[in-house]
Amino acid sequence: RRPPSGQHRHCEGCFDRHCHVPVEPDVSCMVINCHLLCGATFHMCKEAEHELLCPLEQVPCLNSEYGCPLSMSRHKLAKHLQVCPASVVCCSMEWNRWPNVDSETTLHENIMKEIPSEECLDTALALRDQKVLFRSLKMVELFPETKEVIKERPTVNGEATWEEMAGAVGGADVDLVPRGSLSTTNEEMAELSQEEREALAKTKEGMDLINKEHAASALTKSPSGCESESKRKNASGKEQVSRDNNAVGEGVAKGKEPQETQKKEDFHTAVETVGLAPWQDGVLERLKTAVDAKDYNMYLVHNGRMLIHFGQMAACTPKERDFVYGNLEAQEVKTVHTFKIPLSYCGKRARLGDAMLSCRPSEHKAVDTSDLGITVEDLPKSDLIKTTLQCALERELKGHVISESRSIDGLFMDFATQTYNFEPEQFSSGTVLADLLTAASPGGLHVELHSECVTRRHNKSSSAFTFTCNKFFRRDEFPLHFKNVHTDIQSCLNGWFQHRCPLAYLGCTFIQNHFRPPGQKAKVIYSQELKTFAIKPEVAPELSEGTKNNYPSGCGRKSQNSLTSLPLEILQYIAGFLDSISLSQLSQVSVLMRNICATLLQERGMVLLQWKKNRYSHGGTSWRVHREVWQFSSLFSKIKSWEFNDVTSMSEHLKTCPFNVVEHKTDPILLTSMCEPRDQARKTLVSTFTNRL
Amino acid sequence: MPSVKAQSSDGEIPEADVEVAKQPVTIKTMVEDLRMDDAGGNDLVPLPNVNAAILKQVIPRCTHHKDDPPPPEDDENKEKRTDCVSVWDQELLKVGQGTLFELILAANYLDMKGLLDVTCKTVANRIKGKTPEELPKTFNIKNDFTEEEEARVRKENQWCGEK
Repeated sequence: RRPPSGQHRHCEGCFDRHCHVPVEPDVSCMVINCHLLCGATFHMCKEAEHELLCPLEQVPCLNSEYGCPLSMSRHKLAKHLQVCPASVVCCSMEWNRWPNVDSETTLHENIMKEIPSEECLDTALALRDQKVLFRSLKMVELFPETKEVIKERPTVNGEATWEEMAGAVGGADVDLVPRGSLSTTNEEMAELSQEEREALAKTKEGMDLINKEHAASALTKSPSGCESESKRKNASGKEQVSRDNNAVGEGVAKGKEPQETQKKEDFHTAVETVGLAPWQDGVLERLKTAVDAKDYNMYLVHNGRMLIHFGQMAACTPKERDFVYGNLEAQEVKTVHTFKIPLSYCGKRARLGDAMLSCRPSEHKAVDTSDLGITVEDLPKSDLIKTTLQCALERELKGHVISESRSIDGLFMDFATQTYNFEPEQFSSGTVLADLLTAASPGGLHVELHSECVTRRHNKSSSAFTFTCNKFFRRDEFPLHFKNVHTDIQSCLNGWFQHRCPLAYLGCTFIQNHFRPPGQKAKVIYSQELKTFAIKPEVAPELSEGTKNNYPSGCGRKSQNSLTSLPLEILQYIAGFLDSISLSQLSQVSVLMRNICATLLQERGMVLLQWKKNRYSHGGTSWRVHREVWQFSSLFSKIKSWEFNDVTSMSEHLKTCPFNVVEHKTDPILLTSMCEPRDQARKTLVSTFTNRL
Repeated sequence: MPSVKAQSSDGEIPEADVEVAKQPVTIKTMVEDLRMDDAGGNDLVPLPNVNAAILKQVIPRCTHHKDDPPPPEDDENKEKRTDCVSVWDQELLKVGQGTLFELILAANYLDMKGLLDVTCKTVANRIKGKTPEELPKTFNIKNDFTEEEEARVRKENQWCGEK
């Protein structure tokens, strides 16, 4: 019902619940109660307004834009938010793991010899972390010299690239790049930059080695950049210098022939030969042609007063007003184009150091190995996994460094200190360590069993490998997940939740789980498929056999054993008792189970939005919501407290531990007091001091 | 004390104390509506959907739980937990799956919320912790996904809706 264009004259100010003013058109109307019976009483013309705040009004959830389909009374909105399926949180738990190079290798080997048990929690988690790690270690980043040579892309002229990249960062800046004046290779360059942009977004160092010329030219900024700009400026028109008093007239070309390394010398020669003293007429014009913008500005800073005094340059304020501003140093006002940050700086600021590394020119130098006595081909091949892990942590792990910087002739040069010889000689740019595992030992554990927790707020910029949880949960599920999984289990794996034999350092793989969920018997497992911990209730084996027909009458009703024989509402009732992780498992079994679980999505699941990038013909992009995605989280039933498992003492195991080798000494051993001669004077503490006195 | 006779689907007639027999709401309704507790113990309550064996297991449970308070009203937001099955019930339910499902159906027919809860929780406990590979074997469920559906489901277990 549309509200009237204006409130009734009387009703506008009337809030009397018992108003008895007679009804008059355009003046007043009758008083009514809220039709939802919330208790409010108001003039009828205010009904639409009341709907905006009636607590019983049916409204969509506050998260309706994020996928929540539910509507409810307004007064239930807040309570619903706690369990809203669109209220989703991503777990940001981090933990660290060092690679194991020297320590406890026997234990790791022995563990990998056995079939991995789902109850062996620390091993399972370590293996999962290792898998993630190996998929992320790119070989060419660590060993750039092994990158396989691929066909060179056409190298792009530095000046045009500068413009394109500049445009890419700040959005299409049409004024700056008049397309008509560029060469025909513009499209190619545009494509290259787009690819480059994407490569920058993906690669760790923010730069692809092949395009290092681009990077080099971009990073050397002003000279070539300004050169291209100035060329274009002169082509398209003169730039206006905006100031209060425009006396210098023509546009400023920011230096026509930049000299990269010799700008200083040129400047000096310019001053001497061409006559660049501040009192000489035309000095500024000569200066502009001789030096680049930076030196021009420096000259102005140093000689500004004199230039103004001798009339070479107009002051910001007219001379007549000098008495007011007399003590200020006049400065020429110039418009400077916004400095477009090169993509390499934008892309990965934190890794700026790495970005600089890759654009330094490199040269291969041979090392004389004749004193080894074997040919280069016979040199032992480096262990792929161990070497990769060591080099990934080169600073931290025992100081292994691939190269060290030395200063030579005022420049820093990196000298390689180690070289590695791998079986597969060349790697493509996308090869990760996981791809090479078939060649190396496939079933090894190369990371430490125990993990550490150093959050990202601590200074650990290049310490051990970091792993994150990154799982999605509904807001009310998140505290349970964090408590049970990360706090109770994961953080306590080292020696509290699980106990390893004290002789594990010798290689014993015996392990005991000391805790279980309360109530009925259940065990904690790590599910590799779901990549998380889960609870598995223990069921007597004969009861879980589905094929055995325990039905007494035995009249061939095998289908009766199937869960699907139960009516739908019962299946739904059973599903209502399952935790989120079990629902996600059950939904993968059959179409019927999937549909049953789907009925619980709104109540127990969560909804996420999937975004899609739209590209437009003019080059711009925008993100749009593509669709809603419903899923169950990996949360298991809440465990408020843990109970002790009935396990025997560790000493029982030690009696039979194969690594428990007892040494029986048979030869007599001298006690220490038997070694010294007895007739030596006994020294007391007091006698030590009295002698000195 | 007055007793009630219930006739199972296969003709057997186990007897039970009327207080015990009134636990299943279905029987209670029948008894009260048909005023059977007034008459002698000769009238039979027919239970065509429950066989004798199951009935013989249901009756002891009713006896054991006859003094239990009525179960609380279902609170929407209350979490449904499966670890609160009493030890006695756990023992009772250490039966094969076929029997367990029969008990569920009986509890559903007889409208016995307590037994229904306990049996469903037991089944839920047998589902928990199993992978999608183990579940079909345990519960005799046939995988009727098409190949593409199965691949999609295994890869990303999601339900997608157009915005």
